[in-house]
Order: sequence, then structure tokens, then C-alpha cells
Amino acid sequence: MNLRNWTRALWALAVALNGAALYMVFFYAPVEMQMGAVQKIFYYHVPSAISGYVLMFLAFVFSVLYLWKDDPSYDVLAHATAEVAFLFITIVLITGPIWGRSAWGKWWVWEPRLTSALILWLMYSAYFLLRLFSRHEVRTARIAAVVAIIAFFDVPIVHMAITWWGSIVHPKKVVLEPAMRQTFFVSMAAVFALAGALTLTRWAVGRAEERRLAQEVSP
Amino acid sequence: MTAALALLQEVTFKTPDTTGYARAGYLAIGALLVGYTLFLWFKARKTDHS
Repeated sequence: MNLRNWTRALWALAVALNGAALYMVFFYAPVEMQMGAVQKIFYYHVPSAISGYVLMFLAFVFSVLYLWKDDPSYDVLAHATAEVAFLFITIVLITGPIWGRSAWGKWWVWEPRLTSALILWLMYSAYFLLRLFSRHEVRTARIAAVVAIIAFFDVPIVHMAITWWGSIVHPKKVVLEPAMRQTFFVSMAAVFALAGALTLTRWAVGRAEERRLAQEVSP
Repeated sequence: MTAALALLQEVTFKTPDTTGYARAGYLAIGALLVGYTLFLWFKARKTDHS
């Protein structure tokens, strides 16, 4: 099966799983007693964060490989994974404050996890601004790879922030009742499949752009 | 546009219980995911045709 067919299969899986996940979120999972309906944001907020971290790890690996092997195909892969990771971290940073405003009465609290997640988002913003406004292809790719490598070191900090410094809004451990747990796992699979489909599509676009550029340069 | 934004605010943040905030959250998630998917789709079409 070639990449196009894999991408199509993953898109079909992502659509089916997201349909099932949304049905379970709104009609199967019970409403949480203390926070009410807003807790349902959890089912996409947490999988989005995990997908973002995994994709940032991949962007880190491809950036290291690009600097090491000097092969532009790794740069295309790093760019694709970083872009989809940025999308999911943006989802986390938008849904978090909406949930927080309802549950804790505040849109934003300067606590370790939120602050480190914002720093991560800002570092990735720098990555894309660099890609967008710099004209020197090879130098831009190299600096972008270094930015992606440095930015990844913030991921463990975001994850461990609660353990290291505590948090006034994030619990250390979440206990879910069976229906909530099942819904969470289906949502997790749905977001993972969507992240995979988006990354493969973005990679295909990147490869096509690379080929077009190569054709323009060659006589 | 103003009327659409007012309606959006009415069904999200002005809803008395927390349902409105859940709606706002899922609308934001949907807008970002669908928006980015469409962006990729147009970009792929543009690349294919050039």
C-alpha cells in the first residue's frame, strides 16, 4: 500500500473514530458532578496535549536527523510534524482557559504547567515565524531544526511541572469511572488517528512542494 | 458578523450553567481542526495543479 492509500485509510479511520468519540462524549459519558458539562472538554483537551507532545518528539528526532545527515527529506518531515503539533498545542491552550473559566472562575493562572505550556507554544511560534519570513532555504532549515530541538526540552518540563512544583488548578492524578474511562480511550484513539492523518497529508504536501522547487531550480 | 458573534456569545459564555462553556470548547476544537484540514486540502490541490 502506497502513502496515498495509507493516508486515505487513516482519514477514514479518523472520521469513524471521531464520530464515535463525539457520540460517547455527549451521549454516553456521564456529566461530572462538581464541574458539570464543561468537564467534557477533557476528552479532547488531554488527547490533544498528548498528540502534541508525541508530534513534538517526532519533530525533535527529524530535526536531529536533518542536522546529522544533511538530508532535506528529514526537514520536510520535521516541518510537517511540527505544524500539526502546533495545531494540537493551540487547541490545548484555547480549550484550557475556557474550561478553567467555568471550573475555577479564571481564564488564566500563572502556574507552572500553564506557563511552561505557553512558553512551548511561543517557541513553536518562533519556529513558524522563522520559516515564514526567512528567505535563505538551507540556513532557515538548519536554524528551525535547532529551535525545534531546544523547544522539545520544554515538553518534559510541561509534563512534570505538577510533580516538581505543584499546581493550583491541575490535579496530580485523575480517577475516572468506567464510562468516562472508555470515552477517554476512544477519544484518545480518535485524536491520534486524526493527528496521524493530518501529519501524513501535511508530509505529502511538503514533499510535493519540495519536488516543485527542485524542478524550478534544475534547468 | 456582529449578530453572529452576539449569538455565539449567547449560546456559549452567557449560558447560565456550564454547558455553554463546553459548547465554546468544542466549537473552538471543531473550528481549528476543520479549518486546518481545509487549509491542507486547498494547499494540496494548489500543489497538485501547479
